[in-house]
Amino acid sequence: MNASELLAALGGSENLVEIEPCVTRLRAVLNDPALIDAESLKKLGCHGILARGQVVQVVVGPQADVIASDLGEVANLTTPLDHL
Amino acid sequence: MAGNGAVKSLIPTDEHRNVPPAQDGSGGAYLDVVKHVQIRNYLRALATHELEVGDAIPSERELTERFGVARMTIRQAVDALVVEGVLTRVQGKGTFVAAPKVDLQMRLTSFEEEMERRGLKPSSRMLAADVRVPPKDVVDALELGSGEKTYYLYRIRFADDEPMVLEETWLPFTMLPGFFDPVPPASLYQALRGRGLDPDWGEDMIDADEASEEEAEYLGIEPLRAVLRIARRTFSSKTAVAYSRCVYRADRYTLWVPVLAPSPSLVTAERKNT
Repeated sequence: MNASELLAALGGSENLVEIEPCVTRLRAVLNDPALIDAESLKKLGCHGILARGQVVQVVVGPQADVIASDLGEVANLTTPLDHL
Repeated sequence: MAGNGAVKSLIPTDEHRNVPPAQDGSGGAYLDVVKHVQIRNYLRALATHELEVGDAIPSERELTERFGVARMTIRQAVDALVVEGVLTRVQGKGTFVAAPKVDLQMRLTSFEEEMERRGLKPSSRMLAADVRVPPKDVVDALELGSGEKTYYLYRIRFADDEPMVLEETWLPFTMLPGFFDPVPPASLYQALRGRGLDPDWGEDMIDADEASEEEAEYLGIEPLRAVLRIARRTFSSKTAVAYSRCVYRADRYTLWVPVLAPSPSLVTAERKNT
């Protein structure tokens, strides 16, 4: 899954606050969930979108870990080491 | 068979009386609730740690005397454990320790494979097998175009001839030419593997519910008994290859879920500093 295209479909890096892989899903916290492009997400190979409040879960399959770290890289996110 | 001594070791002496007194003078009901939960926990421990499968539990009268509560309170505790599948009641004979439940792990294996792994003999009874246009939620789950057809199977699954699960399954029709020829395959996962569509991941959605009358009849349980409803999307790489809705008897299954700490979240630098 192309990380830049995925990021764009989630509303771009300004929209992405936090991303976490959950086995088969990406759990993202977004500034504005209305900016999600559901059609593009489907075309990119996502198998479902569940949104509630600012949290959006996208079903991506077992590659969620890799996709999340790729996404983190293009969006310039960091691992909150101080939380560990 | 556990001896009397072993049973006695579990009998609470005074602990069950250490219920805090009601604060507002209206705590009688609260006291009863606590008692019934305590008796249930006592009986559960007795059944799982002291007695063997098929052993009788102490009589209602014995329990009434031991705990100093009304017969109704004992009955309430026993009923709960019968519904849970820990105990089984035999008309005119008494209440006994039930056979252990089957542990159910959410992983991508078929019913046959799971039962064989436990030394149980799997079998099925077909209630329906045809080609049909599925309802809209199934269309979405299988990522089909509207009006696209599916293979449909409705089966009762047995373990050692005991009905355990009621299962509906839909599979994409165009992807699987001749899938039901001459008859539907006994193991769907095996048949999918045979076509190079190895199921390799999926998602289960699990809900607690009561059995409908039809479901209860097929499963050999009383209507409104507890069941686990498990809806599963099965994928082979990027393709949805099956969608199923299963009804598991709650009195025969325990859901077993391994849990691990999640991978760390990735956050924006600003958020990290707050």
